[in-house]
Amino acid sequence: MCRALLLSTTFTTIDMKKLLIVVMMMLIAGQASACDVCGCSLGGNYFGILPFYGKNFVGLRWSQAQFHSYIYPTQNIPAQESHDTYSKVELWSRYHLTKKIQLFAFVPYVYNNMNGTDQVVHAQGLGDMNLMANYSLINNSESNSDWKHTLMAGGGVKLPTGKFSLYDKGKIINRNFQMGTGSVDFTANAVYTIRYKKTGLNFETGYKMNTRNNDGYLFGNQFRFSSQVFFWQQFGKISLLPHAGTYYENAAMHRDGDIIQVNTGGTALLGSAGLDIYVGPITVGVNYQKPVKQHYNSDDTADITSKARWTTSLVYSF
Amino acid sequence: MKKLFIIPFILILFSCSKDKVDPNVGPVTIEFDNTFTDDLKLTIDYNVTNIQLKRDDGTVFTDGLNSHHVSEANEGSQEISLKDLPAGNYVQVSFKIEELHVTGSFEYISASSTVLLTFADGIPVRAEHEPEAHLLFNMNTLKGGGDVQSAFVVDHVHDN
Repeated sequence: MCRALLLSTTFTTIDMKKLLIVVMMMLIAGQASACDVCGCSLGGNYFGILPFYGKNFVGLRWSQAQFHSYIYPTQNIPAQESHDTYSKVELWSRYHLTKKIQLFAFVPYVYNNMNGTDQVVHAQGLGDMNLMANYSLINNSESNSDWKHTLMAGGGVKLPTGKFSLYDKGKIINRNFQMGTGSVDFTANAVYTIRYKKTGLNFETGYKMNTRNNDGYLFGNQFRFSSQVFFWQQFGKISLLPHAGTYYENAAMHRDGDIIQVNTGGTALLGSAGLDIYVGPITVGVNYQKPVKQHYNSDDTADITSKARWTTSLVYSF
Repeated sequence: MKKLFIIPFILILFSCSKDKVDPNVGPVTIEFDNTFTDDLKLTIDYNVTNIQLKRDDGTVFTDGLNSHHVSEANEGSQEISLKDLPAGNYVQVSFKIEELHVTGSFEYISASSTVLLTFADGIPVRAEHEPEAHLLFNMNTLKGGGDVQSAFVVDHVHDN
């Protein structure tokens, strides 16, 4: 069990920046255990390029990812396959507690579809809520320089608000397919954006440390890193922000009690392209991701393939 | 406020201590897959008792007096999980099928039958992994006049 909470108060006197630097180095150098490959933590809490640095916002984000699994035939059993779609509509918000501290809340509604030879299931409901805080370490976005950059880092907690033990025909449905993980998980993330006039780069990384749920099931820790190039184009009252880049994710294998679960975890590298449109306080965005390289930890009797993913979002800044 | 903000970092900095795992024992799953052709509509129920697994050195692991009810209606019941077997390679399984009731397109009732099956490559039992032996119980064999033993076959073993 974790004893970390008890120790936390003794560390509050340490210089904030030093601590954050340590955390970030860990994020980069640390054991990159892996992605969310399938399911509930779909895309983690990928921020993307966020609008209007100094403002609060509230928005809706709709995302979908598809996976295909194939089980080879045996002597007596024909091949089986499944097409699975993981979707969520998420209410999310950013609120500035102080000028340097931003709070984020994510409340997802999840609806997943499994269309398989052996199993056909549809499940929907509230997913796992996420609360985060980011601290602004660098921000010269209000300066007159042509070079502008911001660095934010922070962390949060994911709460077990989603159902995690849905059954089908007397058997628990694949854990990735559940509405939530049933566990309290901890996240850390850092976002760096640098812009020269109208062209910029955005780097984002995140790590999620999972704990065991009440069923004794432990999802593997997850790591993600993304980089994007973007352009800022203004046409009267409308601004366009096209962007393209790569997204990497990695997830460690799950454990049920002590038992390592086959066909869980893996890595994927996805190429991404998208467009955000700014009209007054409203931002509408779309982002498409396609796997370039992937390896999911399937055994030699099965194949798991990630298909394209997309996200659309609508944000109101105030 | 800063205090609150730091807590998640600290939690990540101090990783949790790992649960202790006994390296000398492991679990195994035996799956009872009742098969029949599409032209049949069947209700199938039976109890699996007296499961014994034999390791390649002759050691026998016994599930004791446990009785596992298997029902065609409940997929969860078709996977029998045994815990804490001494690690090693298991090459043979025997069990009793009791109170077998197959009803529907045809009827087959049997009070008690013993089944013995061998695994060509064995089932590797080890800590932190759960191998699975996938057995097929072919109802068409029963319909054709075969006995319970002849209706069972080992389809495959997942080492996992």
